[in-house]
Amino acid sequence: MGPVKWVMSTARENYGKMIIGMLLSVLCVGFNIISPIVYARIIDDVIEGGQAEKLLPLCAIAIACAILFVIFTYASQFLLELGSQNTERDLRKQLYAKLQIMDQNYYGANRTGDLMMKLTGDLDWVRHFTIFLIPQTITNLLTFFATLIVFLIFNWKLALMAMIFTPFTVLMTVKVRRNMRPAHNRVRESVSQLNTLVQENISGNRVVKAFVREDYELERFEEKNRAFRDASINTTRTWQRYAPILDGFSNCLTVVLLLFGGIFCINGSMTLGTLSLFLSMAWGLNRPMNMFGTVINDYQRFLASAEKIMTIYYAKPDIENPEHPYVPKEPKGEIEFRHVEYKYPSGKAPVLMDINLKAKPGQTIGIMGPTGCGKSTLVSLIPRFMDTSRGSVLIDGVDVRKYDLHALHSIVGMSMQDVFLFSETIDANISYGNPDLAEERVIECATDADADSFIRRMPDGYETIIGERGVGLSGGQKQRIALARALAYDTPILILDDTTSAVDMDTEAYIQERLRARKKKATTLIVAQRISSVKDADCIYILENGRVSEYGTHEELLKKRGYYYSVYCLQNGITEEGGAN
Amino acid sequence: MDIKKKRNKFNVDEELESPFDSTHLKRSFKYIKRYGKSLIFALLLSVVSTILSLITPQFSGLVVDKYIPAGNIRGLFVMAACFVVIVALIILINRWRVLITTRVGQTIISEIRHDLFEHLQKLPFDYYDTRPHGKILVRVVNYVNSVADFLSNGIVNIILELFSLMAIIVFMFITSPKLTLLTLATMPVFVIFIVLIKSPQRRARQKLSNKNSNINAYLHESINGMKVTQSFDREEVNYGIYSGLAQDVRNAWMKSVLISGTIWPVIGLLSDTVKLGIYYSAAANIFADISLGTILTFIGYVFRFWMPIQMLGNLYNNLINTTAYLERIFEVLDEPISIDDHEGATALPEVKGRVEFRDVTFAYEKGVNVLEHLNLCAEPGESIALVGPTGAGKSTVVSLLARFYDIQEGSITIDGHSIYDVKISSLRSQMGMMLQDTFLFTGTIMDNIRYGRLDATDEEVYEAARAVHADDFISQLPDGYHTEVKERGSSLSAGQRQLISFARTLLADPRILILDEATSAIDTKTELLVQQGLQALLKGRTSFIIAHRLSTIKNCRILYVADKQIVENGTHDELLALHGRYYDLYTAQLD
Repeated sequence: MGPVKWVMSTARENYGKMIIGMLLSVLCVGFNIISPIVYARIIDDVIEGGQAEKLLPLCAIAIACAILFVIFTYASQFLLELGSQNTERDLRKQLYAKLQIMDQNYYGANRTGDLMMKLTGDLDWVRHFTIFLIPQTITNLLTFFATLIVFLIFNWKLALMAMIFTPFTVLMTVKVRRNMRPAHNRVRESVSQLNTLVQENISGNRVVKAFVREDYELERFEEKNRAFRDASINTTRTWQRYAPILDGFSNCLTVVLLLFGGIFCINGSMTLGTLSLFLSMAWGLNRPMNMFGTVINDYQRFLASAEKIMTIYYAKPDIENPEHPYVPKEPKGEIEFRHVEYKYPSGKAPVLMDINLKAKPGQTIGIMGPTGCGKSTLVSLIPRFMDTSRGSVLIDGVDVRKYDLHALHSIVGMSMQDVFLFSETIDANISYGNPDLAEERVIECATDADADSFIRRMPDGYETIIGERGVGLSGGQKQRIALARALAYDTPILILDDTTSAVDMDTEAYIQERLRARKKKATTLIVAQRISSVKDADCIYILENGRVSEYGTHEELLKKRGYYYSVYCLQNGITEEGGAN
Repeated sequence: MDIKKKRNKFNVDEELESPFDSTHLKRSFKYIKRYGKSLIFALLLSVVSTILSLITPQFSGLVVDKYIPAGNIRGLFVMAACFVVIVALIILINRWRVLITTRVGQTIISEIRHDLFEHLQKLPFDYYDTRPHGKILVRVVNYVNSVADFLSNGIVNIILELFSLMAIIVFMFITSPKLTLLTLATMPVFVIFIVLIKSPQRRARQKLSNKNSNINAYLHESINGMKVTQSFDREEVNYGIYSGLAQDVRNAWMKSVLISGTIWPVIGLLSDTVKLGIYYSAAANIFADISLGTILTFIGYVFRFWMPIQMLGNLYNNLINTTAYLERIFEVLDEPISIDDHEGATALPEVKGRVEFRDVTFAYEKGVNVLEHLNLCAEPGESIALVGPTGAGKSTVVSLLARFYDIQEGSITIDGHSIYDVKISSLRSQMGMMLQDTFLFTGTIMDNIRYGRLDATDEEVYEAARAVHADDFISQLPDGYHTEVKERGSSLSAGQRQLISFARTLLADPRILILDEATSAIDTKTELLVQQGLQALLKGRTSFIIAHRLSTIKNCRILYVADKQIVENGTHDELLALHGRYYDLYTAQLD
């Protein structure tokens, strides 16, 4: 499907409005023809002919025409805008819905700034297409052919003469299409790069300031800023190579009419009246031809943007809902990894190899291991942020790939390592997964995450708006709100990916206590670096180099004197093999 | 001193601090003035082409009235040749004008954008913390793009149209003063109409720009937080919110169209009224002294009289749209740089490293003190650890040292120089900050580490990476140091990102090193290796370390931050002996 078809199919519901809008605008042109006729009658019949009684009716007609013209012009503008705006709104919604089903791979490969450009600047060009290009094309074509038919009827020879430039115009537009497209693509690309750079600079403003890199950033910015300016100027320059010629063709039409019409008149094959008719109607060929170039040029710009937007439309997530999605009735929360292997699409060696893991409903599983060993990857496989390359992950005995994605996500609650909070009130953040959550529940979950006390100390309490990504809160506070959010989601499976790394030990101990005391115990997976976070787990798995190197309870692992034991010693200031302090 | 503005979120329209007024216009003019000569030249070109285009209708009259009755075919050809020459001239002149105004327009907006970006670099954390980032972004790129056409072509056209309007009025007056007055009698109606719609139209456009800003802010956050949204199965709710915002934009747009769309029909109506009035007066013999020929000529002028007005109506709409964007742009430019070099600030000499906080009181929001009368002193080369409960203000203390925020009371000095008397750049460039938020830029790992010191050689980058044991995993990546860091860093783990940002900080070779949870996501063994490497690096540098795993800070002097102050101060052993809060914290960590 091409961009035009795509936009038009979205606009379908608004066809009626758009067509009526265009018809009305054609009718307005009609009024522009009627009123001169009325005025001519006033001159001929009333002033010259002295039929004074005709003056009032003629004036009435003129007034009626004027009023209808006003109404039709306004209505036509309104309907066209309405059609265009509705289409834009629907496109926005459609694209947003699409973005929501895209997976993490997509968001890794597409930058925020670029995605933003597609839904802002590029979408503006789609609006230009619906509000300007379509009506212009249609009304101009109508005008052109209507005029041509009149010309053919009155004098086909002169009509054909008038068409002399048409083949050249068509030829030119082919050239315009070929040469303008790359120029427009460059503009589109440079504005997107600019947007991406600014977006990153705003997001990373803390790092920029910490390293005093303002001048460096300005330099990088100026490079993109200039590139965009130059691309824009260059596009105009390229366009101005063709525009004057197209302009010339349309202007010379009048010359052709005058010259050949004049000759025809002189040799008697045409009357002077016909010539003046041709001359007064010349704009009907003139203007459409003139607009033709502009329309083709803008259309190329529209295509440059629309094709970028369509990459969203065509994007296919690697992780999709299965054909016959499984929706569990009463999920219990049993998790099993069977010979799981995971390889990054681009990576050579697998990150996870032959992982076998089992958690019974309500159990707590700890996962530890060195930086980059694949802990986060492992837990991401459960809610299908990624799919295994080999082996399978099962919940309640059913492969997660068979689950309905939404059902799966409502079974698995997660508090992620990279805490992302929304610039919303704290209350809205905690009840994110469950917007209708009762206030007491919000407070309860905040209390369980030991967030209640500091939230209450804030000036607006739970109604405090937190900045984008939670700026303004300390790392530990962010983590605790994220934890409360996961708890409030109340799922049979809870994944806590390094959720308490920025929380002090006292608080952590308190949180663990509260988690244990919760009525409905979720199957909990805790990824952590601290022994204290996992030591009470039913089973602790140690991941090293993508494999499970040891597993067991705290005591069992201590006895094994492996990785766990050595980390234990380090964290407690004990020399290995040497007993206590 | 520093009152924090209420935070803005995506669904709250931003209040306009100072609406568009004449000073804004003057400031816009400042950008335009630099290209005054070019624009005046473009205007002259337009005047010439307008005059030339007035000639062409004469040809038709010539042909019909003279050449055809005379059967002058040669004359026809001469006429055609002249016509073509004039058309060619008009076209070339127009082309010239378009090239000039485009260059000027694009240059002006690139300058506005430059100033905007430069100013944004100077704005404090506070600015970024209090509003959705999507709202800032849309101003720098989209809004600035929107004003381009008006600031070049728009201005030239307004002058041009005013000029032709004047010229027409003069011609009309010469032809018939009475009819001219009749025509001009409609002008007050038009002026009143414009005055009437002015403020609702402006409000409608401001509303539209607000709604646009809102939807962009929401989109920006949606993209960044998509993983959370998906994992909480919130898609439907968010879709509903986004649809609502899209509907708001559409409604705001339609409302503004409802108002601005009246201009054209009203002009049409007025122009028809005038024409009819003239015909009627002629027919009813109201002006007995005016001949039919005069009336016909005059009608031709009336037609031309309304054209520039129609164009001006269009331009007026553009002006209103442009001001709605300009006032937002100027609002950013007017945002005070609340943290800036004080007058007479000098460069901070090479730091030896004595840091002193004396009686420091600080609040992010007025009335809610985070720190009160805090005292702290670090000797050159000393390693200080800040411990204490979450949210006690540990990160705040180090942010104050880098002057990311200004304190309300007390003083902070480095080697006896108040940090308020020195240039901020000289202060921060001697400080290495490893922030909690490990933001990496798109680019290679190499680029990211080098961000710490732009002129570092490859070897120095490797060295920094080796010092924090990041080299181990980086060299195992398929592209090693040239691996592209993706925006959300998806292929790097949080620990790995932390190591990269750690290497970045070390590469800066700071005199004062601040490590705020530098190793929280790193496993204990790697952390130990990092620490061993760090010992050598810390030598001679004053360092502030914030960490929750107390094993990492045993060699430091420990300050326990709580109750807005430092409540315990001493070495690990001293504090343990104290049996105070540090003791409790420490024992809680042991089993």
